[in-house]
Amino acid sequence: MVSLTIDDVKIEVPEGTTVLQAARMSGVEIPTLCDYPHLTPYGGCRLCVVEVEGARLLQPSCTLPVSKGMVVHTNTARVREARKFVLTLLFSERNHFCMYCQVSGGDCELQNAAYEQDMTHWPFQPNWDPYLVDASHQHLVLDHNRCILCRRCVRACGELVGNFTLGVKDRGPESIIIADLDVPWGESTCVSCGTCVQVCPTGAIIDRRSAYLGHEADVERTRSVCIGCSVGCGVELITRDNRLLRIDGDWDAPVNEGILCQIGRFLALDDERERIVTPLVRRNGTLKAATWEDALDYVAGRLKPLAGKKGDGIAALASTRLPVESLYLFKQLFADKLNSEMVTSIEEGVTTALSGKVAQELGRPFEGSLERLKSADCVVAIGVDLAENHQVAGFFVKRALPNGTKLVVIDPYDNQLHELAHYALQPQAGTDYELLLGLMSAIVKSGLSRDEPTNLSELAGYDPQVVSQVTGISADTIRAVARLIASSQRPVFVYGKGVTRASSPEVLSALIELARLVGALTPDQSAIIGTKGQANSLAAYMYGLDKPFEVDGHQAVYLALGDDEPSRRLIKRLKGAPFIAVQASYLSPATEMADVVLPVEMWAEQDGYYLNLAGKLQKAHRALVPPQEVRSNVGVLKALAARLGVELEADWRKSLKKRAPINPVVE
Amino acid sequence: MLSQADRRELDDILKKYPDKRSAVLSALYIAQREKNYLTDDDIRDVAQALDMTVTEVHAIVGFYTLLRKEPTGKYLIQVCTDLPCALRGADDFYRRLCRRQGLPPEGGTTEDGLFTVEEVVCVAACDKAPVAQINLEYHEHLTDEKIDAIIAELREKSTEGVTAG
Ligand code: SF4
Ligand code: SF4
Ligand code: SF4
Ligand code: FES
Repeated sequence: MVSLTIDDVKIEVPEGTTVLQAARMSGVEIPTLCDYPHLTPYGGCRLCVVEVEGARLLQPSCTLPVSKGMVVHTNTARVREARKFVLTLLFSERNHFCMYCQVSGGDCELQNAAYEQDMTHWPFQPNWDPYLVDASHQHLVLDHNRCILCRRCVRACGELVGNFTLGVKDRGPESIIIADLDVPWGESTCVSCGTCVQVCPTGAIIDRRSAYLGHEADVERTRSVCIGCSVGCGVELITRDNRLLRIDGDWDAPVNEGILCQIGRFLALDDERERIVTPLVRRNGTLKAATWEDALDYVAGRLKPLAGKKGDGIAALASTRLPVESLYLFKQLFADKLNSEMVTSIEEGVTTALSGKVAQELGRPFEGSLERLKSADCVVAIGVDLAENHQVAGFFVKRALPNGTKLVVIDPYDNQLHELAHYALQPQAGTDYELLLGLMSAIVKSGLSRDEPTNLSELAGYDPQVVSQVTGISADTIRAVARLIASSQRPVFVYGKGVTRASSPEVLSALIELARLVGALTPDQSAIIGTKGQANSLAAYMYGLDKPFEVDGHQAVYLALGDDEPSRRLIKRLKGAPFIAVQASYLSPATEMADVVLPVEMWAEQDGYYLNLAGKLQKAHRALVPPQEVRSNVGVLKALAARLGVELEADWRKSLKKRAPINPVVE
Repeated sequence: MLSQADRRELDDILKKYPDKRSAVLSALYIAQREKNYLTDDDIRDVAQALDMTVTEVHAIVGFYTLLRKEPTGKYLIQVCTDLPCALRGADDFYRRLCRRQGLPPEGGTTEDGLFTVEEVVCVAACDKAPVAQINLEYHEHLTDEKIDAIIAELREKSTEGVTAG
């Protein structure tokens, strides 16, 4: 601990703390601009200067580490003068005619800082030169006229997202933010995660969709969870007058710590499907608006005689985007009460069933938490493209690469991470198993294994030389990768559909064995992560909703689609079903085929729990009020059960943990 | 693009630094040496060789005036026209030079792509003005005749090179 004095108050702070942090700890506010809590201090704007006794010049508090006995003054006349001077320079450097700027009036950190210093104008001539406005990006606009070159966006893009798209070219007054080799932003390597817009302090980076639709003071913020995929990133839903304006990353969410991907931040808002606002019943061949009474009676009437029938009864499918509560009621209603044998999810377990089988054989969970990925020094990604889906997990990997984290990608097919990988292994399709055993055999031979191999005799047949013949990967590469993995301190293994889609669990079992061999799977901690599929695919597995779907001879299909979009494959298979009831938010090819459509809430309108890919249970919150005739997914299932004379239990927690867990479930 | 020889030279330089990125200026110098300017491909090559991102390398190129991104002649003729040199007639000398080479007053590159003429501020040889720095060499106390002779000689040398090669 280091003790120092800030504005006449003595405090003790840990070594390495900056003066700015120390001041905040003792309740002293120092204005800042280039500094941002989640980014490395940069010391560029000099707004945060303070007077340190004994130092000739004012010091930037955001980059200055505390030292013993330091005496700091944050609010002297000299400091206040300097702040005004810094702000004056910033205002006069480019165009800051605030009245035309979308953040003016409360949302601009530059303007706010000036008001805090009681500035109403600045004494210098402004720079009249017009700067470029880059409007080439799909979601964002970069107006260089408002840019103060704080480089928050540059740091966010590199440090948090690992994308390194943004930089600064030239120097002095000519300095300008650029993308890649100074190409239009929309044509750059930007992956549209939008982290930069969330950190920009001025109106320089603007989100097209929410621009001019409301200031911070006019909007409401609801903390929730993104249900774009199984990562389960924390979000803040920004709404005004029951309209969703924007989605921000939640800096306090432990899973993503503020960052989001394009799917979670932008695409979730770009829904152009037509909303269903009233129940629909097919009469004389066309869907007609109906009352809830009629619609529910109709469905119950058709389902009731089919209860208990196997093979020619009811087939029921639920979306893995539904909250846990709905999945539980769905499973009870159709599997336990109506005794149907074809009750599953629209993912049909393709991302979880195999892992479940392996967990059951092992008799314990074998996957670990996502946190491990953030501190890995070697990541082995197999059968998964983290730049395509589960992107935030991919950002954790990409941003760690400059710090020396090694990346091995094993995928016979195209994979966007191949080009970033230290080793991009493309084995012959179907030879992942041989490759993994080859790696193990090389590790054992090099004496680097940290655990006894259980399959020593089998490994003998998988000398890298032999494996190279089958996989097409050279023996030297296999040995080098083996050495790399085995000599890492914190290796993490990520697997995806390429592994779980297989008909047998041998590749996954081999991966688990490899992880164990290098010490990444101990009884109390695992560094294996399966990416799963949609937001609640793990919960669907836990409730047994994970078998392949067939209509076969079933006389009725109940599709609890929620706000999901049915795949073309599903639609094809639904053809010819004698009766189809769809519980959905939007019109789709599935509702077109339906005999009854029951309108339900979409994601932003519902409260409900989600179990992310690592077994973390998180609650999504309602931010919008649904249209009047639209009911909750839970409400519809309950009403249907009541009509069928069936009683459902509401406590979903207990049975969520019943099935052989793939991950320890954390609440 | 970095040639094989360039790469070998760069590899030797890299041995001197614990951190590859420290060699970025040397690497850019090598990449620029032959043609006097850097293409996007050069920048990509350097970024890859030093484990840096292209944007970072591009930012460094932008920061240093001696690293050039505009196509430049094989010979870069820089004439100082700052006050002390101007007092010795360097500004008129420069303008006449541009005119004789068929270039606008702000300079530029000759049609054959051999020479780029440029006005600069101080090359630290005020007492010997008019001065021109041609690539790495200084030519002092220049007159129109002298510079024309130098240009003619260089032009001849390069065309010979072309026919010979
Ligand atoms: S949107 Fe994301 S990837 Fe694109 S420039 Fe901004 S931070 Fe970088
Ligand atoms: S665009 Fe915004 S975040 Fe980026 S440097 Fe300019 S003001 Fe800062
Ligand atoms: S990674 Fe998944 S959970 Fe996170 S923002 Fe993207 S889609 Fe949403
Ligand atoms: S906040 Fe410290 S220099 Fe910008």
